[in-house]
Amino acid sequence: MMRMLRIIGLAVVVAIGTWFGGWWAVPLCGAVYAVLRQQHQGAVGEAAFGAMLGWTGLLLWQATHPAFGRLSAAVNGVFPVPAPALMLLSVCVAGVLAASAARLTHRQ
Amino acid sequence: MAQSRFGTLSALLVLGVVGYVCFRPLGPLPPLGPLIDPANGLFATVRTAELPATADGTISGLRAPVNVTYDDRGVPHIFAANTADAYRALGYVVARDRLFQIEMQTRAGAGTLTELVGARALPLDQTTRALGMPRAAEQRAATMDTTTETWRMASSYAAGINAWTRGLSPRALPLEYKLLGREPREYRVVDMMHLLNRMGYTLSTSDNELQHLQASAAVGRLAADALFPVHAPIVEPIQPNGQQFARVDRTELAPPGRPDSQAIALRGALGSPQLRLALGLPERGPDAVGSNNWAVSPSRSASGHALLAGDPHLELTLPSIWYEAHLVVPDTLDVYGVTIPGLPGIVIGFNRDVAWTFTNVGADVMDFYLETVDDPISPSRYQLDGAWQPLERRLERYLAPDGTLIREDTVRYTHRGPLRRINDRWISHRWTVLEGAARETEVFDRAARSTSARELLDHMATDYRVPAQNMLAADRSGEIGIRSTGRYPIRPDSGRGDVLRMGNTRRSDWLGDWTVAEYPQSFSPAQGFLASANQEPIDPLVQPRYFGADWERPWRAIRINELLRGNAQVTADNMREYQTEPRSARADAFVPVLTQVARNAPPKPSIVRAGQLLASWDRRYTTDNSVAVLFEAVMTNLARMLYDELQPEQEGATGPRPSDMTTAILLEQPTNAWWDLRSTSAVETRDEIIADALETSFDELTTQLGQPDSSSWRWSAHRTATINHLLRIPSLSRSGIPMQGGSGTLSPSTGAGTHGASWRMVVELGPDIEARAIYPGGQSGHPASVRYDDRLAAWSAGHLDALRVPRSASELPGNQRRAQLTLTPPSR
Repeated sequence: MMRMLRIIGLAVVVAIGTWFGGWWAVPLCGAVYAVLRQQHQGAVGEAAFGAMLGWTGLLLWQATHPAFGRLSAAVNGVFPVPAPALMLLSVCVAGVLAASAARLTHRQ
Repeated sequence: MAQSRFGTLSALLVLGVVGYVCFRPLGPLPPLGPLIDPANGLFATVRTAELPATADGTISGLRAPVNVTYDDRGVPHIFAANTADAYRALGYVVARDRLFQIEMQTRAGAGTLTELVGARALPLDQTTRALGMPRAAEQRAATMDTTTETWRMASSYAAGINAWTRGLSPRALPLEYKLLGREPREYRVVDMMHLLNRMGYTLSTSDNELQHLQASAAVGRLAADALFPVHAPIVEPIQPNGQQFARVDRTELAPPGRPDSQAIALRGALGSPQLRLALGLPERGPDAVGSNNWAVSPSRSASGHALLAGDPHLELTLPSIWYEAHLVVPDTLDVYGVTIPGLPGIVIGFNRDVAWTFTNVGADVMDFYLETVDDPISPSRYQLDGAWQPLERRLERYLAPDGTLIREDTVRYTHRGPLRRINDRWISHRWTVLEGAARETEVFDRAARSTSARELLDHMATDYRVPAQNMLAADRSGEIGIRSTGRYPIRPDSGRGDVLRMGNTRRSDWLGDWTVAEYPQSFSPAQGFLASANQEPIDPLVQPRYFGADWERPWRAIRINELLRGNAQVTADNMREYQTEPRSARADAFVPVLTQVARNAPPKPSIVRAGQLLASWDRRYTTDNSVAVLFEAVMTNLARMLYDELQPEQEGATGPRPSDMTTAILLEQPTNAWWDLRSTSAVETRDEIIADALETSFDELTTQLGQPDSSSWRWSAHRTATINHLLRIPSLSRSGIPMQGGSGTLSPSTGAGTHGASWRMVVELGPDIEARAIYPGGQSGHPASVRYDDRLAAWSAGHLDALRVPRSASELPGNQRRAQLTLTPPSR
């Protein structure tokens, strides 16, 4: 339960950090989280999961906007992948950024 | 330990790779990080798609608060205390909806697109700079008097744009900036000059010299003169000449003759099929800028008030070239209409007294000169009147978005204009666009304050130079007037501008300009109406001086005049219907002859069937008719056979293309040598060629499309509009839009369907102005906004929206309000 709360907390911090600072807040949050959870196994995974959750939350929030369908249709023709795949890619990138940064600062 | 080290190294590698693609652009893609960032990137643009119900903004320099009320069509009504504030606010609201468009179009005029989209735009930028456009804009801006109204208006407008841009957070940047990984730059007064030049490029380039020279080289000068005449052989001028019908010049067309040796020698300079590209001239088919306008006097309107209609045709883009706005300054300004994003002022529109609209004149304002230079590769001097004159050199540097140098060019200038090396010859050009006055930005403000049609047209005649426009105005007193306004050069000798002149003598230089009194014009003529459709504006019997060549075909003008002559009780709704009226005067000119030939020709099934189909056609390009496609195929085959002498020998090359106005003249000369095919030993006549064209066309179409009753023959299967996004991104563009109309109809559509009515407006000038209008697209440049393309369906169907024209913010009913914006000076 505590672990889940920690991940949710990290997700909130990642979302706020991204809002104010941009994408690079993700590896930063991951790295800091791993430092704070230095003695605990699984911190790297938690960082990844928290970052992915944070970005998923932000994306879902954007998706609630009435114009999101039109934006998705526009994006579909811009990239070689459809909008949902681009969103999935975003979430994965967040996870990879957080995990790799966390792994660098985690000693276990 | 080793495992841990491996893990750390792996993590470092992964972070490095992912971090790199997040930080750095990969090929044409922007850095991934900012793009996929869900709070600030691509998906965050959804939050700015629509206007918030209320918003505030600050603009430095504002003297009083400005109220902007957006109506239910997304049109901002700007209520300001003074004119400068009104233009500041206009800049702000236009930037709010069209920021990327402003930068893109400005850069297109400045030749700096590479700085926005990268090296792929280099050829476009090189063309722009080789034409001398950026230099001219910079010179004009540098010499502007900063104490004038022009400067005050332009700088206020720029301040408004910049106020919006500075207030933008990264997450609120327009989608296109995020896709390109760029940020908007500051807008300057010189950018308005770039935009004006860009409009000049779109509307004031001509390749008359090229067509004429190519034709001369193939069939001799006399025949070239006949095919590309200085005066339209079907005379239906803008300035009324008292005719009830178009006058046709039935002079026998000179037959194909011996190639002109001088033209052949020069063909190396101007005769190359690639020359149009080399010269940087836009590729335009007939009707590409097929604009119409007309006005009706109270004596011929059902309401007893003057009526005015206009529909400028341009390349259609998303967002539209136009932005609709209403500016109100108590006791000073109350003007509604469309503005070009990036330029202050309402270009086409109306105030409480006058309405106005334009069509393009198409006069020849660009001449080419063959220069003698001191070095064939890198000249520094050119010969003039027996002496060497230094060439001005300007280094053109093309930068990538990151500021690195992509390429450097040197553009040289003679006293006439830019010099270019084309096929080992050095060609200079003189072009009125490069010599335009800076007051074009102010002239629309003066127009907006006019109280009569005559006053408006006089303001325009005083200050407006390029691109030359047939300016039509009507006022509440019932006066209607038209004047082909612009700068028209007078040439020496023959006066013609469609021939390549020798650059080594000042005797080739322009001698002066037409005076305003000489411009084609008319005010409240006895016929009770005025109309223009890009045709030759003045009857050559009235004014024979060279004005241009290879004029737009007269079909639209003939049809408009036919409709207006036939209706003495014109209503505003009639005006709307006429704007998309599908009947073709071109078909009226050709079909009777085609069907007659089909009846008398050898009874081959294909010819008989083609003749029957054409005879049954009402000559209307409606979406569901099945004969227009046959008629167009016949016209294409007819031109191919008729002008076979102009077709270059080399595979794939295209020769000059005479207008079908010339073909219509040849219809009345059935034994003219042009009807003879050079590939056969027999001597063909008109009827044989037409029969051949009918048979070939019918057979081709049945092979390609099946029998005529098949749905594949329907016009809607062949003629649709395509409206491209500025970056040509398919999902941001709209295609397959049903179109009623074809080549030569009042709402013409040809080629790829990328050109069309960019704005349709009908104004009734009664005690209270009543106006209806529409343009394809929508007010917003945001592709996710409902206002991006909300007008498209109505535009396609030929409908117009009723315009809201409140005198004050409180006059706009609550159910017609969409949003509110309050602009204030920054607090101190």
